[in-house]
Amino acid sequence: MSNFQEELRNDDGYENIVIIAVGQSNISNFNNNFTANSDLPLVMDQYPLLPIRAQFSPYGQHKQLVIVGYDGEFLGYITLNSLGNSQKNYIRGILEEHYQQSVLGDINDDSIVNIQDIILLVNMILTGQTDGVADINADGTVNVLDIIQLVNMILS
Amino acid sequence: MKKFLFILLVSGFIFSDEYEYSLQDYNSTSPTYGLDVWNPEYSDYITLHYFSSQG
Repeated sequence: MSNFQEELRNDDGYENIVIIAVGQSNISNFNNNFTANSDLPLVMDQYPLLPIRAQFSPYGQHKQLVIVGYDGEFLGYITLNSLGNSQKNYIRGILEEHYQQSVLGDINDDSIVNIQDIILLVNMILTGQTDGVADINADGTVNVLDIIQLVNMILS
Repeated sequence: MKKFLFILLVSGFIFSDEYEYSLQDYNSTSPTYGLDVWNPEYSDYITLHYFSSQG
């Protein structure tokens, strides 16, 4: 599953997708095995109520992969007894339909890079409330260098 | 009228297909280990939730 996430991100260009493993709090040993040799995030559904599964019902059964959009909307699901090409292609089809390529520097996500994005970026830095989209120069930190690069992008 | 609005509100809640949670990432080899996912981490992502229980 971890390899598939890398395929989607690196080969297909779906950088902003993530596969989250949903285990159960009452089977901690299993949870460790579940994500062994994997960099997938793992969350634990709290036993016995299992609120995540309740929320996703009727989906969220064993081995089910539920695909959710940017606003938390249901996009599709598939039961993965195996992860072959047909399963991968089903998932790719959903991503192809719904994935939105992010525009570098488009901080406010209006598909245009302009002065409004600079203002938003400055505010993010001043308040310390930044996210990945603000790291324009991709150096792992959000600071004045990102503002300079964003200004240069707009001017050019 | 109030009854109608109540039913409308409740049915909208029951049949809503919008999901969300914010839970700690327990995988020590994950880049978001110890942080809360899927909100705020990955809040602007398409998320694929893989459910598994023992077996």
